[in-house]
Amino acid sequence: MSSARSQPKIRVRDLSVSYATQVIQHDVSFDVEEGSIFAVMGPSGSGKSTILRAMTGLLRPSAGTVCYGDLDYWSLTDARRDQIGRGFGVLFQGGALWSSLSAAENVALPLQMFTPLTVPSIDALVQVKLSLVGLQSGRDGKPSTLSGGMRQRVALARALALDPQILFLDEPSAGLDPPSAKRFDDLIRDLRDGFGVTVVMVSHELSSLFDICDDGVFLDADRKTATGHGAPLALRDHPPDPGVQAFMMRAAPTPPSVAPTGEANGAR
Amino acid sequence: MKAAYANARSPVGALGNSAPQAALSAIANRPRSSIRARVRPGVCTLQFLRRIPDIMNRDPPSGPGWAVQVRDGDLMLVLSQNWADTVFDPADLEPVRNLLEQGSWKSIRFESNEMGRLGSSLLAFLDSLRRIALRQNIRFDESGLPGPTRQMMQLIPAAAPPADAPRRSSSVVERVGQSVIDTGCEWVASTRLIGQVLLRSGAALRGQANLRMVDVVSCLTDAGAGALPVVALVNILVGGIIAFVGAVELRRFGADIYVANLIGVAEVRELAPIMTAIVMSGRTGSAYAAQIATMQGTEELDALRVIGISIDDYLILPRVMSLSMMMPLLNVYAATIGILGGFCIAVSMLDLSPAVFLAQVEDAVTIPEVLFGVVKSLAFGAWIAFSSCRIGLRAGRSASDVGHAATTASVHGIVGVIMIDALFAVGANALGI
Repeated sequence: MSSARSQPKIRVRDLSVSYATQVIQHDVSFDVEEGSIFAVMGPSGSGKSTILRAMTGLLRPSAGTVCYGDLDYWSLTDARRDQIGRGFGVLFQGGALWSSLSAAENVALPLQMFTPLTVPSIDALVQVKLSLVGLQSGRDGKPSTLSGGMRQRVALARALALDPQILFLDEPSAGLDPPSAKRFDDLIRDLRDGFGVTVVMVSHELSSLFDICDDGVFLDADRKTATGHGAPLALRDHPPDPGVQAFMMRAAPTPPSVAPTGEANGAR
Repeated sequence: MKAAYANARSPVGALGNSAPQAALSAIANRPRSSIRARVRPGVCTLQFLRRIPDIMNRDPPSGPGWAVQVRDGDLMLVLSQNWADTVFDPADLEPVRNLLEQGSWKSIRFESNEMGRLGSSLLAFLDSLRRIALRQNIRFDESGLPGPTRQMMQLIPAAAPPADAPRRSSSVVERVGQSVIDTGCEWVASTRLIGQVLLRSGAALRGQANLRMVDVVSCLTDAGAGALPVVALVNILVGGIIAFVGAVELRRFGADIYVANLIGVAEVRELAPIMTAIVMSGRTGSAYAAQIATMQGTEELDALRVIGISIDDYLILPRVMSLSMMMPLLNVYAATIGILGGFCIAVSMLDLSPAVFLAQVEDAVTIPEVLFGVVKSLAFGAWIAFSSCRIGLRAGRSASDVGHAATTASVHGIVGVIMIDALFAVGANALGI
């Protein structure tokens, strides 16, 4: 990542999210640098997707701020938030493709709705986006006729439709086999490198996080707050917290550098 | 939004032969809607870019999109645009295509020292250009492009993706034949479902079906108590309307009193069963179809099948039993409410005495009439439940399929109810009921 670190692209401060009276996460703060791939990590139920919903305008936080550049997103008018939202590309868990439209139409719809492009221009862009994500066939097929991996690719192409400045990915490689997941990770990195897009990625696929993420935040499911910041690899090697260590160790058997406790030493 | 950039930069280099020069001049003299052409001696700069509004309201980029030059028999494209904020129209490449056809070019090369951010437009532009070059056997030299752009171009296959196989158009005979086969298959499937559910109903009554009582109670509540308000509203209004219409006609013969007979017989025998069935078809039947179609889409039905739980027992039977059991009760309720509506109008606005009205109704409405309405409503309920569940089961897996299933269930339910009512009318006439 070669971006300047003068001003973060996204600043999240003291963010609390809840559903009705159920607090999902509270006082979460982190910065996302421009052009970086940022991971929101944590076990299931820790509120990763909920944080993402608060960042993308789908869930109003109960407290705290989300700033894009100098703009405090949730203090803006609905119209302004919509306008900013057009700079987001969001890949939902499971794709969330529009089932009545073909793969190509799914990608074309945002272009038809928000740009003054002609039909040939839209067709050309749709072809490029689908080629970029590696969808060589099934472009005219409805989502129900596509495999899980193809649906994810179409969803990513749709997320890229408007050349977003920020790409939000919710479990992008969920349900993909390891080689497909690896290719998907490479693709995300290529897209970041190529377009200079900032990527915020929710995942608990540790291999993906270690491979491609520059920075991240770890959300604790029990304490409902962030307990670790930094690159996923650094968090793995120097876990700041037993929760982070336990999470990282489950799928990453690399011994952490946390010193064993005296009790454990004594037992041997 | 079109952008005609006023401060176009000076183009770079000079053209080397006269044929491209003429071609470029021709392009310049034929401005396209999205092209701004600028010709100086030996050089033509083509601007063809339109901007997508920037979300952060930054200043629009300035400068031409690209310029064409000739160097040592190669066509050189000088890219000098912030492509992240621009869009590409394939028609803009038509002049370049013409240019390539007119000269004998060794390769297409690029100069991108002044290029701004990469955007999809540039990839679409380069992809189209590469295909033209491929067709003309001209080398497409990407070495002058920035690294990230080359990286992205490697992700895009040089050859056009194979088009999906076109659907073969079938003949009229084929379509009619297929339609007949589909209808036959549907009849078989529906008959199987009805037979299966009837058999399982017997098992359920003997306590041998895999019915969850909580599901049955939920369906009964939904089809029964949940429907009371809307059934009451519809039937009280219908009763009142019949009272008005009947009074107008009967008054001409001095037979106002028979308004009560008309309301009583019409409600018990026809209106209450029909109106209740229509309401239930739109309300409950479409809900059944939508629920089951949604379960189809979310693979819940597959999960039931794999585990070995009978869909007939688990889903269909509770719904068919509930609606079949509740419809006669709702019919009696609807008839009572309908007569009440007529009573209110007759007493308050037509000056009929309450006692006389009730006596007339009692006289007109016989037990066979009531039973006739009850049996009909039982048939209506069974039809609505069966047809809705069947439509839900055969639905596709998408959101639009769910909507289609709900609509179809509603329409099939209402049309079926009218047809069944007609059969009852013919049968009753034959039997003298």
